[in-house]
Amino acid sequence: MADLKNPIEQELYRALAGEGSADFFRPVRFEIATSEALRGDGGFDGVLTARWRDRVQRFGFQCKRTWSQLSMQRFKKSMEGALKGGLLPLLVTSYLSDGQLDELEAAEVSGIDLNGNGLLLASDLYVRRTGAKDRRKVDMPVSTVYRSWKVASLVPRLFVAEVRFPTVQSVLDACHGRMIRVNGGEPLLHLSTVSKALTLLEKDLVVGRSGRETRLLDPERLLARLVGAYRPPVATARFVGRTRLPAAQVWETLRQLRGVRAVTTGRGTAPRHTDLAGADLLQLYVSDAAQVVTAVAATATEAFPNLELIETGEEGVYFDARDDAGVVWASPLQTLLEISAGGAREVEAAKALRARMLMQMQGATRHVKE
Amino acid sequence: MSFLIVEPYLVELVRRMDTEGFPLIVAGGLGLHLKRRWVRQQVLDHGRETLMAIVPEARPTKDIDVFLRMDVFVQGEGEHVERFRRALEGLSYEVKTEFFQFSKRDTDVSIDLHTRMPNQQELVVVKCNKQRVGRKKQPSLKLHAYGTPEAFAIDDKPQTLPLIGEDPEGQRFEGHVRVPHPFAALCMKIQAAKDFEDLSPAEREDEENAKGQKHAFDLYLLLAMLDLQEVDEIRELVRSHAENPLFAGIRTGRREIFGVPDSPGCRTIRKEAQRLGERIELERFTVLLGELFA
Repeated sequence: MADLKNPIEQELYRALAGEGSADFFRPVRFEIATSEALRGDGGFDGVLTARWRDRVQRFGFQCKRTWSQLSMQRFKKSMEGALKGGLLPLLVTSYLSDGQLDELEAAEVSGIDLNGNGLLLASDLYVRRTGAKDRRKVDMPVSTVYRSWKVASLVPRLFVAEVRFPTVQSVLDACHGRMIRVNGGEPLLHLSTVSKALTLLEKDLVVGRSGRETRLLDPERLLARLVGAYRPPVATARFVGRTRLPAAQVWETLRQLRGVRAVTTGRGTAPRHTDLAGADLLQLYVSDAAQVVTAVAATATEAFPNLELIETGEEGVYFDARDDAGVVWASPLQTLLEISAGGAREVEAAKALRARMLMQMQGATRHVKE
Repeated sequence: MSFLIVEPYLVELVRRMDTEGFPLIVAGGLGLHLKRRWVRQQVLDHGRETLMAIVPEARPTKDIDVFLRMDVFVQGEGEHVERFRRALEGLSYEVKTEFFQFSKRDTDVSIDLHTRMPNQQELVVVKCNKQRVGRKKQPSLKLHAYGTPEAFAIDDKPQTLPLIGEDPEGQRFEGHVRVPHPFAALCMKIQAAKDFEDLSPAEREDEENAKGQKHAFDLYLLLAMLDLQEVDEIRELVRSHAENPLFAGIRTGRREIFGVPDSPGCRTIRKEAQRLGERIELERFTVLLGELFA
């Protein structure tokens, strides 16, 4: 499965994976077909099944940050082959106004946005849902910057590792330096996002700005906010199975894979930072599970698995990962976030880790002041 | 360590038959009990990892179900049959059901003899009449065994477990006992469970038939005890029996009665688990059994 590079697609997966998925486009229920065969080869990003009572309609969807009449027509044309298979075109974007819904209707293309507006058109189905405001234009609550699935959360994450930056650009550069990039691709984090994130962090009194410089003010609040806003990453695919390769050879194979990001999960990294025991299972976040499965010749099994792959495009899990003798471990923060949301023993271990991290951050903050 | 009332009789039987050169495979509830006890010890002594985190207990039993090798019937001119019968007589076993069920005098211990179905070559000297297998030319002391089609893999990799105990006279024995490989045991249990589920609801209520509901739970126990090596061996045996029509029937039966957590066999497991106060993971059970027997 391809890496979900498009943030709209990531948001869509998250909206349809959580508890509120039933309300996302009520009364219609959406499910994303996860079959690999359904993705990417017909001019669309994936297949969405819409259900209402006993009616079922499948849509080939394309996620677009922005769209125009031309791109919509191109999408419609690219879907002509899929139409024979019963798939109808559906555009997914961040916001659809009434006027835009009219345009879609005229072009006979269905569309939904991430706010709950949309239009579904089929031979025996017509649904139009309007009135939800564009969340991007509503004043952004401060807490959004800590949400683990947002790329902007890399900025507060950065302040766990470093406490002072001379410019906004240096924050961006430091973030880029701690992101895992593949094939020299353009990182998803931009200066405007960093700038907005810093404004929110300043409003929340987590950082202070003096001239062009930004400093961490409140490590405790920063960690508390990050832990509170953490959600496990949305998996676009999961694999549980066995490989005959020993762990070291798995990592060697991963290093040679082009275009694939891989990092041990925070829970898998926990024995490095806490007294929690390690699992026999190699548990990894990867950007392309299918490619990894093939490369390490793994077979799916629930019986004594030794490999678990969680495919996700969320940047947070890869951020600030540490390479130690070829093994890529999650950052201490990612470990803290995951075990804080775990069982009783893990929560206990998280307390100790959090205290240690706080001490380091407070020490660094004092050092900067002096 | 737990012992069964029947265990001293098993000790004397195994000791005698080993001496006579008749390696028996102990199946049924007793075989399962021996395996469960050994697994517990392996977990304690060697940290054996089992497929299910929680392994239920095995039910107690007083029957001895054993599988005879087909050689007993096939080889020679019937002298093995005679020697086997004399060995049973030497242990005070009398014919209970001609000539595959024997009961020990002055006890309520009985032995049921089973065997796999004979192949074409073996049918030259062996006959099979209504699942009763025996030599065509029987010696004066006759011997049969209950032909069990679903035991087609009984001779594949039987497991040898330690057997330490005393015979009924209090004489100590330290030896080994053989039990079916989990693959063979799983196949037999799937068939037995299916036979039970195929009964009408009224038939299932019948006291004798009602005992059959134990098979589904035994199947769960067999699966729960597996370790990685056994899982790999099962995969290998599944491949080697892939073309066997008897195995195809077992696979179909598995799908029908253990396909999903709400299928009939699973409902029986749930009922038994409630009765026994055992914690079970039916969803995982169906997934794992489905994976192994796919």
